[in-house]
Amino acid sequence: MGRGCLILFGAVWILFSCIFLFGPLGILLAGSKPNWMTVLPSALFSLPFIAVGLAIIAYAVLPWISAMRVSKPAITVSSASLSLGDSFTIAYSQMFKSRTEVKGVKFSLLQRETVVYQSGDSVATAHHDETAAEFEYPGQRYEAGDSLVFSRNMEIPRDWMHSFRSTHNSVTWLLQAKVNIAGWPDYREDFEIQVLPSLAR
Amino acid sequence: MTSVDFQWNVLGGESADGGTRFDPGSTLEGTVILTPQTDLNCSGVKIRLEWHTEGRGDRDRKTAGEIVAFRGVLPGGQLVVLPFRFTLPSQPWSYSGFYINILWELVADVDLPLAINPKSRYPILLRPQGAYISQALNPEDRSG
Repeated sequence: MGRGCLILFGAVWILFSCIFLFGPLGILLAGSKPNWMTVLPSALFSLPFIAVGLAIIAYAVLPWISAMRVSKPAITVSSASLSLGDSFTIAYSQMFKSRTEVKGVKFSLLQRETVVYQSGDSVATAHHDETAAEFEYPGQRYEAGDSLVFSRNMEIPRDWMHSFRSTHNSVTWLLQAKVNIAGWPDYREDFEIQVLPSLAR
Repeated sequence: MTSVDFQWNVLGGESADGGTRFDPGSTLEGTVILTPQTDLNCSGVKIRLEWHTEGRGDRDRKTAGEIVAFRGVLPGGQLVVLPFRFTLPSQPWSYSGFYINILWELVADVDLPLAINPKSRYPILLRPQGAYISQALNPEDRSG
């Protein structure tokens, strides 16, 4: 589900959750004094549902919030065609839009299984990630216009699966960067790489 | 129900993880011996090389090769030897993951008009030497 759909879903969820608030609200707007012993329980009942709707919207907009501080990173890989067992170099560059305290950057090489399946009347998707390698880049303070730049050697493990894609099942390889920003949502970026069905010599 | 005994004789390969491993791009050849209990007028006996997925996702399946090895009447009680030869593709490799399994197999399919087709499957592993194989194979699967 895309972010826009999540926001819409959250908004509709909140609207329906507010149904128990409409009665007291109408009474208040009409200038009458509501009977709180009747109105309060139904209003309280709706609060957890409203909180769920707000959480859904917050989850959807978090990436946009974190992107207000940092630009989209430029990630380049030394080779476009990688085999299992190949070593490669990644170059990472990301600019900060305002003063930012970065606690750390976690960089992971992931193999992701994605499956699509029929669940009742709807179609569901599930992911499973396995971390093949990871490293952390130390945190520091960045001023507006500063860039986080580093390069690193990594290796595709020889005994894993190559990239594979069919209608309902896929195996993909991702480079995932997670920038941990103090007092701000994490910034996350996934970058897919193709791993060929061959072994490095 | 129509009964046919199947016996697979697959040449080459290497024993691995309870199955037989073949290199991608190599040749897979052998024979399948059919013994029908009664005379069978079949539209054809097809031998296929195919893979399919198993696991949480909906099943994907692809036939990498197919030959019609026999047409006509399969004589009851007699052995019918059907040779086959396929060039194995380069991918996908056999795989056993968290949600996804990719399984390769040979399938012998006796196409009978207006009846359930007798079938037999022979699992294989497609993966180069030196690569990890965790695909489980049940020896029972090799019988018809």
